[in-house]
Amino acid sequence: MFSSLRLVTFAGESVAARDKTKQLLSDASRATGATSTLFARTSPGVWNGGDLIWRANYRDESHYREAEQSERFRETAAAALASQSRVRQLEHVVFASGVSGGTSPRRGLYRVALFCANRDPSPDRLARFARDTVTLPRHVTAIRRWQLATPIHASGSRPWTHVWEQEYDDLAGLTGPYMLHPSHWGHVDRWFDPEDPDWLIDPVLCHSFCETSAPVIGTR
Amino acid sequence: MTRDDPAPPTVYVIDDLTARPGQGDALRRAYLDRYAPGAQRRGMQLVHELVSPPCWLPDGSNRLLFVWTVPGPGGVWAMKHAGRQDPEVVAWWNEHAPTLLASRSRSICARTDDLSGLADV
Repeated sequence: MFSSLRLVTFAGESVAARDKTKQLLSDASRATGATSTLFARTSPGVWNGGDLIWRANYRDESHYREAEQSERFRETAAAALASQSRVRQLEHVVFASGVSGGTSPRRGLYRVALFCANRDPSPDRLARFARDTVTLPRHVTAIRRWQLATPIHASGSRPWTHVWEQEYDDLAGLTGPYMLHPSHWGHVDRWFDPEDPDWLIDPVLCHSFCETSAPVIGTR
Repeated sequence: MTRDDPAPPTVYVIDDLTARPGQGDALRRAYLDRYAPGAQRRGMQLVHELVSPPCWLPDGSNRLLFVWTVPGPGGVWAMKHAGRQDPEVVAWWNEHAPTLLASRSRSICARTDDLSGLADV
């Protein structure tokens, strides 16, 4: 499985212009040949999370490249995404399947965080961070499906180094158990904390989520 | 613990600092002058300030333990979010403190009696 994820923040204040861009991207998202696509407005409460989540699963990297290098894609979606009058901010990561677990709910909430590990990112520290992060679902059973992946391409606010995705039954799983469990605030969060000597992750990160009507994180 | 409880379990934040040789008292004073006031504004309460060995070492390294409390997970996140917005906090740990520090760790702890309640989310 190979995935492309974009967090799109629209430019301009005109609702009509935003809707037009959204429709253009939506049309393009249905013509990529992706095996599954999430194309949804973000929910209130995101942080650097954009207005729109566009996530596509492809069979492999060659199918992704074929889709995004097609003339149709370049003339529609790629042109719109590159237009400053249409899109104010774009975060984009492309990644192969990472470490994952669980089973996606049929519908619920998808959450993605993009991290940039740029504080002394030695191989040992990166490995320890990854090990700690993937222990969270063991403690937080509200996480129904999860994946930690490393992008092979990343652009936007930071050169993203990690894609941390989860699926929940609903928003309460994210705002409740995920945020409140001590394994999060008392253990894993030290990698994000400038007060902790283990601090690893740039304070600028993306935290985005949306409602879903189908499984999002694919299987290998 | 349920989210309706009026008093969440106390969470302890422990800074375990080892001073550079001969810098124990200077580190303590710098910590209390430059770090502690901001920490208190972020909702942290200093409950213990300990030194080992219990005398300042002119040529050796003292170990200092500062034990703070915050009220529950909400207090931890409030402390963390406020600290991340404050460039003085980053400057303290990354520029000022290292001139006096040999090493340090930070631990976030709870009473063992509170573990099951904290995990019941």
